[in-house]
Amino acid sequence: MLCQNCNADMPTDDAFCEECGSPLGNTTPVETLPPCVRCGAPASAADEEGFCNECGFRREKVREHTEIVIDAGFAGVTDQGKRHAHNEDSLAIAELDGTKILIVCDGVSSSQDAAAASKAAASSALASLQTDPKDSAEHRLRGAIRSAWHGVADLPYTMSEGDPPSTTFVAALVEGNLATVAWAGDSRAYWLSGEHSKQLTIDDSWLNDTVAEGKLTYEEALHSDKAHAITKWLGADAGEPEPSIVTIDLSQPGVLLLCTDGLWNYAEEAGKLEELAGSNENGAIEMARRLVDFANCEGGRDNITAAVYVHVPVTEQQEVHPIAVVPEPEAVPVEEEPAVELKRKRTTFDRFWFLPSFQRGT
Amino acid sequence: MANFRAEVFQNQFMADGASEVHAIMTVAVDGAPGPVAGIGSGKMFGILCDVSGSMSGEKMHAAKDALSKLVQLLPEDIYFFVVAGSAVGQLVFPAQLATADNKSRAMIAIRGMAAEGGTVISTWLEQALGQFQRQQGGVKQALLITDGQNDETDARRLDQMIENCRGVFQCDCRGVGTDWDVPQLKKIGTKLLGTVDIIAKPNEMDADFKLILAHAMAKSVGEANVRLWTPVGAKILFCKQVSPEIADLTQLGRTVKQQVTDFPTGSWSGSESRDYHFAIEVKPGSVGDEMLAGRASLVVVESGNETKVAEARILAIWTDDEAKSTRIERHVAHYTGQADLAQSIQDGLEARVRGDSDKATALLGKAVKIAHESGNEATAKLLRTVVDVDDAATGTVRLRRGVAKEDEMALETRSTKTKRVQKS
Repeated sequence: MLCQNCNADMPTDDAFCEECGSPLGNTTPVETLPPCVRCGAPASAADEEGFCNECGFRREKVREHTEIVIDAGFAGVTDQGKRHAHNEDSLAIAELDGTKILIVCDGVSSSQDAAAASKAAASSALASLQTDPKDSAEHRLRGAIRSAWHGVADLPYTMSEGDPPSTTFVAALVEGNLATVAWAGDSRAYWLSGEHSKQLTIDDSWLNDTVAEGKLTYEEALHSDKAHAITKWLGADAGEPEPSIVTIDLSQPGVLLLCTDGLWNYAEEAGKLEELAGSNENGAIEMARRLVDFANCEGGRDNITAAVYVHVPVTEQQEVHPIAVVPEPEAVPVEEEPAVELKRKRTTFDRFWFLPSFQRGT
Repeated sequence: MANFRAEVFQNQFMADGASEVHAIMTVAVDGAPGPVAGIGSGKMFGILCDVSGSMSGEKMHAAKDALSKLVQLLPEDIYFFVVAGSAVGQLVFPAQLATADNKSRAMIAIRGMAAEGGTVISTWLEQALGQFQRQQGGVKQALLITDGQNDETDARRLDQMIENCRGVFQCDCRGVGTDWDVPQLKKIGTKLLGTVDIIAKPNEMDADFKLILAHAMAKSVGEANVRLWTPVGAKILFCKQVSPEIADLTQLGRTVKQQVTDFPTGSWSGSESRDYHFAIEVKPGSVGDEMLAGRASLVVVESGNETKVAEARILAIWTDDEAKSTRIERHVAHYTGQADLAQSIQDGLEARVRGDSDKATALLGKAVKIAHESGNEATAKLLRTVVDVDDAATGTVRLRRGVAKEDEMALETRSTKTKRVQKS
């Protein structure tokens, strides 16, 4: 076919004239792009995947950065960071009849198609939590993590080319003044509330396992190559997950933060994270952005994800929405003397079934 | 049009600042017998037979016999001609359709060939070129048979003539006996995109010629090129066919326009698969950068028109994850090994001829080890005619004494045959 711009004869299925770079009109034109920042080639000289037809570099593509804002007090950011070509973290947050759902997953980069793994886990878990609310938070989270596991394990992969798709998983449900957190791997949840600030999850990591078994001291283990290796994940090679679950009381105001190691590797102390998140006067989204920006400023070596929920305690009178049937105990204390009281039981059970708005949005 | 598929195998991940991109492209055409592409006016088969003095006797007798049988097998719808080659190339039977009548006349001409005079191969090729040029497009395949070395005074003219013939026809070369020169025929075969092999015993000609003809007749695409697009400033370090046989095409590359180079692949049958290894030096990127380092395609040329029949991308993604950037992709590793195998054999045999036993032992031992590891049993078997293998896994070998010249030449000639990557 002839190029309409310069009349050069080009193979019929080419998208662009190789003489002048004009689109040949047989594919959808690429979105308008600025000239190539590397070599100055005109915007038209890029192929359908955004590679510059002259220098070959991919055009300054949209960074893999996603922000989700539910409302002023509930938002999240996931960002590819500075060193990775793609974002293999996934973030899902939602509100359903007053119940806050927070999910953060970090695709294991040594596994195949890590991005698909985290995405499958987060979306499967969210779908599960949105469709099956007639149960206790813990049961719903267990169901969600099972769905997430199925979502990941069903992804196609090649036996010979490394580990099957794998991801970490952390999710929280907030109902009234109660939060329930479930996890597998080293993505974390924190409660940021002044002197009550603390890390809620315990990483499923070689370091923690080794120290817990008394084989090495924390200091010794920290220096091992394997310190950051995770011992639980969701993947076809991991079996059905047995998540760790904690339930915490949120009767104080504070911020519930879920994040990946792209953030906590640069600041893992709860007080420090609270300081970095700053005030909530510009909303939860601004806090999440500050945390992500901080990690990027520190080097951004990994993908970074932060989900932020600013909690205002519900008083007895206000408590019209929520809900929580926390069944029999099993709650795992985070430390020997938890700064946040771990509630074992709620007594709102009798009111639960009369909530008129319950089915909405399912 | 036959159905072509291209697939690229590579490790896209590069360490910070790295600039060398390697990729294997496999091109497969599936056997759907469709209308023949690129055959404007059918096929032409040319026979170039050495009739120099050295051929006289049993060799000449066997060659005449085998060529007569070959002519009888020619399909009636193709053109063929015969050149008798000595100090001059003599067109004993000009290109004509392979009708029964013409076959009979060609066989009379073949029987009349007498062995005398020297060996000036450029003149044989010149005659063949004249015949092939009479046909537009199509499959043009020659078979060159010789038993000796080209006249030293013809070296430059031969190089020039090979250049003239490039792109016009393909030429399979067969060396009869053990007095011919392997590098010389390899040069003709490589540049004219043909195979080279030894026919140690004259009575083996018959069977070999049949295979060559069958192969030529199976061709259904007259001419195709591997086309490689590279970014501005990139350098193509090499482009090699690596399967079924190693053939370095780098020097045969033709610049189509800036950033685009064509490498000739000759004709294709309706069902075959070939692998190519590209090495491209690109402008180094930094961590997080992504680059299209190459766009490799197969372009079929049909009476002057080009059709892109398959395309695949070669990417480069810079990362600081060493686990990713240091991994060598399986196909790349395999064919890098096969190229190393061929080179070790060439160098090992050369060292052996020079009398450098230590070096020859080391290189041929290395070859045995690679052949063993990669499962290249055909090459391993050839190697065992030259060395005694104590332990193939470690490449521990001893040079054999009293190696038959023909075994050594067979190894030298066939060392470029590769083993395909095993399916995982």
